[in-house]
Amino acid sequence: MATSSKPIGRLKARLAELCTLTLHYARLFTLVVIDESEYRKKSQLAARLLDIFQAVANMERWAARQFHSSSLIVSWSDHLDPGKLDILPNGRVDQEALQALLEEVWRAIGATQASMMDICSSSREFVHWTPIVKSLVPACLSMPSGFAAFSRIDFLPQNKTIRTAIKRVTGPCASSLDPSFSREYSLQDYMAPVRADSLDLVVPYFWTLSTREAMVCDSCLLSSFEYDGLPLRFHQDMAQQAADEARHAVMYLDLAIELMPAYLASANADDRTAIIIREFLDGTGRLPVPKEGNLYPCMWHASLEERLVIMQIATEGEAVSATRRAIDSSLAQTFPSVKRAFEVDYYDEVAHTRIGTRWLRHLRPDARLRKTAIEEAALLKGVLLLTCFLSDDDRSNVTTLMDRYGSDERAGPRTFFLDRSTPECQRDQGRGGSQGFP
Amino acid sequence: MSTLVRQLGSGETMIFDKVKRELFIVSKGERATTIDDARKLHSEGRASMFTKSQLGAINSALSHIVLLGE
Repeated sequence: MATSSKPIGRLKARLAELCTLTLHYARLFTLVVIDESEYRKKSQLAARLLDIFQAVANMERWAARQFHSSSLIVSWSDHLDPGKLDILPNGRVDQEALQALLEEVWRAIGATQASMMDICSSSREFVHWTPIVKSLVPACLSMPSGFAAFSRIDFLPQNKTIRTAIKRVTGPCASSLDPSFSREYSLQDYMAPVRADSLDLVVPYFWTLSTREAMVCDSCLLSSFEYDGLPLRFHQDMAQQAADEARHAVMYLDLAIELMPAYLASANADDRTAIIIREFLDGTGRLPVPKEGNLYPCMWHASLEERLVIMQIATEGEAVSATRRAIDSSLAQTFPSVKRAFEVDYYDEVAHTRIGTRWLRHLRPDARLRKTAIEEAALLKGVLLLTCFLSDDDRSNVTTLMDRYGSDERAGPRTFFLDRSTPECQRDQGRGGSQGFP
Repeated sequence: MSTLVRQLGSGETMIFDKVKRELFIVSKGERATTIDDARKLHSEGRASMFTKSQLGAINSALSHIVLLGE
């Protein structure tokens, strides 16, 4: 790229470079967050990612004000196209390769910032910009003093030909669960617990919900990682929602744990859920969740439009009124922490529905086409959900599952936490432990 | 774009006819990139077809699976 020899031209070019490098760092960092299984760490990492995207937004604003630069349309540079790099062999994150790449980009960010500082300090005209340039890079990416800032990366021009949303790469095909959980029952046989006003159902509901919140975090980051051709604001929205959802994952798991003593106080000693909880609190057991994990494959198989419709607009949008009612439920009145959690969730769900609406409008400005996109996503939701039932078995396929679910032969699923016929329950009955079963 | 083509984790290919709202699932190992390919493979028994009402039935059968809360 031709760079002006005048300080102003060089500063403008370096700022564009800094912006692009930091943006690449952020999009690569989405993989670090998705790959983190421990929810508390995932939440911290998601918050850091949001800071990095916000730093890019600050750079973009400064570039617009000082140099009248146009808004960013985000795309992977050919130099750092994850599809061409070995960071996702077989759809799984190679942490070592990813960390090496992140470090390389981080050093290039440091080198670019150092170069901008040099230009500012050597020109009387721009010396007052030095503190601004220093503050452009977020604290989590600042170079420690004495650390060598160098770049092996050539300038990374954005691919300016991409002006519409396009799936450039495919993100990780799996997302893991927090170590607190154990995959115990299948959603093909049992329902996951649903929100209820009683402790016996709501405690398992909260811990199960925690896994789903983490999945939504991963789904948002997947969209940011995979899709080119969208404005920076899209990536900021995805990072914001991801940080919210990761925070919710921690909040609901903590809430379940907080309510466990109250549950144990009201349950019979041999109640199956009570046994599970006691073993978990003793550190000898984990909390049972569906074998299908957090349903991440549903979102992995979906397009961006389908993700926005199925998650942000349909799921979160429809949950808003139920969550609003839950704030005034008797459970929330009894436990202030439950009320606070529902309040947090309610306001975030409203914000996330707006995010979904905003970006679906961006992708489908025509109202008629938008309606069609919503109908199509709703129609395909079943097949996307069925992908969560695929196993590693070579014979496992969607056709068989669709044939099975398309027929009327299946009995309605039971609720795992109420089912007396599970092997665990029969084992408990065998040792005379069924009396307290809810 | 009146057709949606996507590779599934199972190795099957999902082809959705947006006009007729019919979904074809093409078996693993078969090559199909257009709706015509899918229809041909379906007529040869190497792809399954699901109508809009069948897709609706599958959605109903899975309605107990809630992605997030309620």
